[in-house]
Amino acid sequence: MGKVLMKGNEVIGEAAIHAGCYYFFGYPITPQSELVAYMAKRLPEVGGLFLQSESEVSAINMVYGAASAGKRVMTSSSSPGFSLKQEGISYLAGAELPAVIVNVARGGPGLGNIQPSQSDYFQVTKGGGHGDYHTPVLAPANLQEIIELTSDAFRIADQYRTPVILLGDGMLGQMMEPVEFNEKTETGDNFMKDWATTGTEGDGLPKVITSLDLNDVKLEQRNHRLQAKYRKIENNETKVEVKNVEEADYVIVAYGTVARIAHSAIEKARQDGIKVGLIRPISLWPFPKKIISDTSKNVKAILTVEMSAGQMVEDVRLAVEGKSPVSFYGRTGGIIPTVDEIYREILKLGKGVTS
Amino acid sequence: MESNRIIVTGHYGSGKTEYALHEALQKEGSQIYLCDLDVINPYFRSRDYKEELEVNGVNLVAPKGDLMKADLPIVTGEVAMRLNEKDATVIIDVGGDEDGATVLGQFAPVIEEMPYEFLFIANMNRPSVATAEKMISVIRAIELNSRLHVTGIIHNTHLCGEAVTSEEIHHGETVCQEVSKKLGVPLVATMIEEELYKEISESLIAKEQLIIFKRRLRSPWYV
Repeated sequence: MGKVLMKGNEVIGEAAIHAGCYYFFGYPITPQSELVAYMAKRLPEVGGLFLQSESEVSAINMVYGAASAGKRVMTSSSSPGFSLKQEGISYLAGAELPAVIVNVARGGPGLGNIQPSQSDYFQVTKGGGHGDYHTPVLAPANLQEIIELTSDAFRIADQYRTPVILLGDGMLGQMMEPVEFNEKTETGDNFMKDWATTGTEGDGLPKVITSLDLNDVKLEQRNHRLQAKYRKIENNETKVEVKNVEEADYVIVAYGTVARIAHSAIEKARQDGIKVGLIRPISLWPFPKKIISDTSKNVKAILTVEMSAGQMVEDVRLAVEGKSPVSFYGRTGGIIPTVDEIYREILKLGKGVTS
Repeated sequence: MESNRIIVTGHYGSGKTEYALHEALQKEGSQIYLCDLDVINPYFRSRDYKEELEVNGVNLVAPKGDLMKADLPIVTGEVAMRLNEKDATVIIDVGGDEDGATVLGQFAPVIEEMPYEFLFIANMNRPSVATAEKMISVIRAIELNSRLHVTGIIHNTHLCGEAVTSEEIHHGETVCQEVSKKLGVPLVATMIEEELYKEISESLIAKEQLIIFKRRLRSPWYV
């Protein structure tokens, strides 16, 4: 097919269509509006259905409906709009419905601004809504990876019957990069969805999709089933990129676009003879605890860099369990850390200064 | 055609802002105004280069203060004011596609009072203009919404910093020439990023006038 130049938000849309998603319900919000606009234009061309809802709340409930019918379905938003979807995401998790929800995050809290941010990490990785649940979270760092991870997100959703979050930031949504799509598209038909509420043929009980269990014993059983599923996902779906960690004295943990900035800073430090490696969690939940724990035994210090006041760093510290010092550098309010800023933080590690 | 009214239009990712910045910084004189009319994109706009522009004597016309970083459809009244100044050099960086061009429509009567250049920037690597037919349809839609006629095409095949080959540039130019013939508007030039030009200048078969430019819109990991 050859390389084309696309905007991150457009890539998410096209990648979803390639993954066999023909249903999209959404509401525009900067910096992810191009995704909604792209779906509005593209889905009718491929025989799909696009519907702009009156709010994020209705969009996520339309997703609940389409997922109940066994269809691959997506919705998207940015931070404030994503918060509005939380109730629905908890319902999807409880009812065990596969769906993909995109958050192209922006500065917060509240209305915040329209600049890029990673301050929704807690929200997406720790449940976000009410009840004991997790959603797998995939965080691409470049536009080509969006294609791969969007396909993964739909596969994980169907395989485990769970909502999956695709987390980007405004930078990833707005930037342009060359990408290449596979000629082949998926359908998702390889997943048996005998639970889908598409009608019975008089051959059994009615199919019911619900997250309601008035019976406490049954609700506990449902929770046990969910937890068992989450352990399976933890075992099978942890994804991480590791660079130059084996001989490193220091390691940076960063995800998404920030990992790319960190990578440039690492290259600069390595030219100065400072041995720095990079661990980039690709799945934020499940979190790549093991590699971080193992690495922490062999390095002098770990630095976590985020566009937040320090969220993922908590998971890093839990994984490290005190085996090495963990410091943090973050920018908030939509300000993007620069290569030089991260480089200076690396130099501080060398001097034994940790915050 | 020498004119001190240059309006830069195109599809998303064509390189409008790169061209507008390049053009504005080339100009000499005291009354140079670069108007950022982009109400479509929240990032990667001319206004992000305010400092560099001002240091080099170019006045940025964009929403002021905090509103500069908003996604609101704000058009400052200063745009009309500058367009009414005969001696001012006014460059307008319009938002992408026909939606971005809609904003321009309100200024069509005042723009038409003087000679102007309405340039369409074309990047063949963007799917929406990848063929002559598609490009013509985008140009037509922009013309309709802006109520102005495109007076020239600037060819800018690129992949946002990733190398493109001489053949790809040649192919892009050929398609632009075809559009130029069909629409009866000149293909003004081919834009090539400075660093890429150094690499491929020997094998370049592009025939049009070249604009060698320094890329300003960079990702934060670029060193």
